[in-house]
Amino acid sequence: MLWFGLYLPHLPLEVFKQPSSTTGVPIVVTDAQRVVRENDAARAAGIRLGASLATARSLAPALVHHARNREIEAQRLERLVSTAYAFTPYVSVAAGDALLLDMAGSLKLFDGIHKARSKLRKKFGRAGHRVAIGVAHTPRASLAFAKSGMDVAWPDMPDPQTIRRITLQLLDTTPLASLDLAPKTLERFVNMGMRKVGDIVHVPRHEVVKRFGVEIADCLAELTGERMDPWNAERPPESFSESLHLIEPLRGKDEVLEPMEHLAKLLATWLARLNFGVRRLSWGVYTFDGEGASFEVGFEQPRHEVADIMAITRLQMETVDLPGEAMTITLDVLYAMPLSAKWVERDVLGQTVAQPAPPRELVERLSARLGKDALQRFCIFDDHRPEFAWRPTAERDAGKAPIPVPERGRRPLWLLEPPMPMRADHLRIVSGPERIRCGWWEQEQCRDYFVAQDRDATWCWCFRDAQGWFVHGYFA
Amino acid sequence: MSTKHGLSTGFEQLDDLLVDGGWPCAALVEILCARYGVGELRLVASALTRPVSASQWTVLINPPCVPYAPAFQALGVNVRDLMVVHPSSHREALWSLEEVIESGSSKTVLGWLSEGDLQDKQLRRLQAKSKERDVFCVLFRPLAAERHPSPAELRLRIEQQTLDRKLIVSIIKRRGGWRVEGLELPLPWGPTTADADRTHQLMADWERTRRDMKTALL
Repeated sequence: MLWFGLYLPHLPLEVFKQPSSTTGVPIVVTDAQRVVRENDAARAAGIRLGASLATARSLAPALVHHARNREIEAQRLERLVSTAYAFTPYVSVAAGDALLLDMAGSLKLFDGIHKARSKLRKKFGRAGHRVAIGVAHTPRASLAFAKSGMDVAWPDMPDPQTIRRITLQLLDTTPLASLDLAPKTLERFVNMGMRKVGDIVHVPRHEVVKRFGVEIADCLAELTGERMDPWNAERPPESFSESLHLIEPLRGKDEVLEPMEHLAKLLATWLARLNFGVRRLSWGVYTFDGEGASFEVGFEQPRHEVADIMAITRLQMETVDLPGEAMTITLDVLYAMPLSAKWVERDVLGQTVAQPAPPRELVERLSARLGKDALQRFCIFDDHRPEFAWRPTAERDAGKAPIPVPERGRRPLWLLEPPMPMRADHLRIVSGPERIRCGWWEQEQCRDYFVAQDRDATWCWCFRDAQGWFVHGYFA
Repeated sequence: MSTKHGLSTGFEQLDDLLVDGGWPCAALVEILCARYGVGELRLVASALTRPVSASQWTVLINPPCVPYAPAFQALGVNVRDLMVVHPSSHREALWSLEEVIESGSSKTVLGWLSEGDLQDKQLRRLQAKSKERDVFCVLFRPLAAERHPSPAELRLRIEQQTLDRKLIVSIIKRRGGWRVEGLELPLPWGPTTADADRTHQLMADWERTRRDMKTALL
């Protein structure tokens, strides 16, 4: 377990967009005429949290103040959830000013705690938010660390035991004030001389219950991980892996499709809960003896609807040999990703808009059946030598950047690769020569190109070099 | 005329002979030629370069040679919308053709199918699907195919490209009309007889100079 608690202390201030000219102007956010957040300039003027607006005004006559708007804060926090999605699919809004990220699965991707944290800070910084990040093995502790600024030099890739040990050590010195306790409870602790979590966490739990109530005991248990935190229950399952065991064996691809569709429906439900789309999945069809076949299905864009998933699956199925009879069918998601808004087009009634299939879909369908290498597109390069002026590219790489082609005389529509040797007396030269000499830096070429008619009176594009005459293309 | 909704072929003479005033945009069209490279692509150039909405592919299925992208670009084709499919068998080629037609993301598809495996019912399906999905589907077939009737809406035969920038084409089958032999379609570019004579002169001079230099050296 590894949780990042993201605390945004300045959120009440940050939601109000500040023109850059106001740097240095003291600004405060007030709630019920009390200052709840101040900027650096206001703090420099001596304004403290909890001061009344009148006091603040007397300290800084040029004060700008905003009334706190919790609604906007909540909206902003929702938007920041999608920012955090870039780091992990498991993000929750923890309180009015904090987010919780389960980073256990994505730590490796971001090269450890240190880099993940600095990336998060940078990303939030770009969105205009200062963020304090606490790390712990329980959600509640990570939030407490974020709020109190308790931190250590974390090892980059700690194992779960280490995370737990460090968390418990840190908790000992963490102020109780960072725990989001009711003010009254906190006051009682302070009156008893208890200021740190360590002061209370080692007290026998039944004593805590007796003196402070069950809530405090539960809170401590969640802090230390003795008790599962409710956040866990909220978290969707990490992966999708389902299987279906049939009562009677099914024969043939058509019969198998029905239970497969059932699995696809389960998958769609899982995807909908996460707002995810699937990019790659794996089907397995097995006989009673456990023999069978599995095949992968890839999608050009994240898919979340049963019909789409099944359509491509059906195409892929035609290329694989399935066992004669099937008893077990499995479906595993290999790669799923958040469904960003642009992939889903809906009309005003929330129905997916029926459109002619976008081009990617055709590519997806053709390559599912024929294989990726069967599809080809072209890039044009700015090179005088005909062989190098174009390059077929596998479909997935093509179309990235249009490269301007200078007008350079007429070229044949069909190219022969490699050029075909031709007897000189079979060619009747009708135009030329055009000397093409270039590319001394890799493979030097010097050729005189001609337009000629061959014996079929077909117009060809040919050249002569040391080896003789070659036909390089046809003016089709 | 308002009733004509075909896509102009770019050749006035040919447009005048076709019921739609140009290529039938929702149909199977056959172009018969003795071999590849005889002007078959330039005959259908107007379909390759027609302005379409951004989400349309122009698909070449199983072409006999490498489509030379710079030349396509010079012709006015947006090569980024050009997709070439290399199926491994006749079955797959047919399947891809139908898939492209059905997809709705292509308005122009050119196909080269294996003549030996091609059946009449397959052509019938292609014609029906092209009509239904509003696709201009062109099949390039050998001259021998003329002996067999075809469900294609339009069949043309390419005779030859001549030195004076002419493409000689015959209409074998068309809607609302008889065959027409020996249409001379003007090509926008091509070497002329004058070019040929000049080049011959040039080559001859060149050869002579070389011979003279050789003898001088000896």
